[in-house]
Amino acid sequence: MFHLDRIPNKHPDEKVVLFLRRQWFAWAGIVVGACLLLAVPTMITFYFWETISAWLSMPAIGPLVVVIASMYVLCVWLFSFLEFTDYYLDTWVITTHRVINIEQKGLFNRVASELHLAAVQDVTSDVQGIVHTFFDYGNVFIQTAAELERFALKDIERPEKVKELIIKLVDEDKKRHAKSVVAGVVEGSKMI
Amino acid sequence: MIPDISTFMIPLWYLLIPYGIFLLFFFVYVGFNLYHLLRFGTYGIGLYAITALFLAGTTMLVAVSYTLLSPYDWTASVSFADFFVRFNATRFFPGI
Repeated sequence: MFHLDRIPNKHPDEKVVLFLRRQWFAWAGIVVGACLLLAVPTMITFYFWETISAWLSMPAIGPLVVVIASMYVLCVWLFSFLEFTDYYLDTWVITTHRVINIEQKGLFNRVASELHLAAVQDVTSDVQGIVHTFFDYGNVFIQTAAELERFALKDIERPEKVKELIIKLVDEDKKRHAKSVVAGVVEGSKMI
Repeated sequence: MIPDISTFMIPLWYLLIPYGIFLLFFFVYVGFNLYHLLRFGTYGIGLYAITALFLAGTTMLVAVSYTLLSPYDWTASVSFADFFVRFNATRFFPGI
């Protein structure tokens, strides 16, 4: 289990500032899709109930229909929850020192990457479309000097605020580094 | 000499074989899903609620499936004649 107070390689003075997932539309779509896949056959069953109840009373057709229906419902349930797990395990953790991106790409395929705030060059937020604008969700892109040039936080809520927060944290990180460099120089000159 | 397939009797429990294989794969994937949730999920009440919902839903659906399948006599046999040869549109589509 991932504990927010026990993140890996934690610095002594590092604190978690924000924990993000994709906006709720992602899991709402899964729920709506599952409901439709279950509701349509149910409505067809009720509409043709006379025919289907005749089939269910037959010695061979009845068990076959029940077995197929059971398999269908269990499949819809399982695949919906697999998709939900995929959504649920995609997270971003913003701390005072870094941004951690954990992306679950299906079962047994997980990508976790870290970006230290010192490597951030530019932060951009992006909200496109009527729905995104009304519900205030979109993407935040972090341009870096690292090997992975662009970090993307996709479909997150309040991307503008997240962008401003990251910029503020980057500034604070730079000041912290400047202080530690000055402290190191002073220490060094004392030793001389 | 071509055998008369209309007299072949098939035990009804043969239908449970593919269903059993399906259930095996189903439970394996349920296990995979639970493993991912518990191993990589973020600690908190939300994770426990989702895991409980998933387990409860799975148990309920399997129980309902069992309840719907249990009234049938799976030890009985059916013949092709019952299904194919004596196909009767009125019998299959009453009300038409």
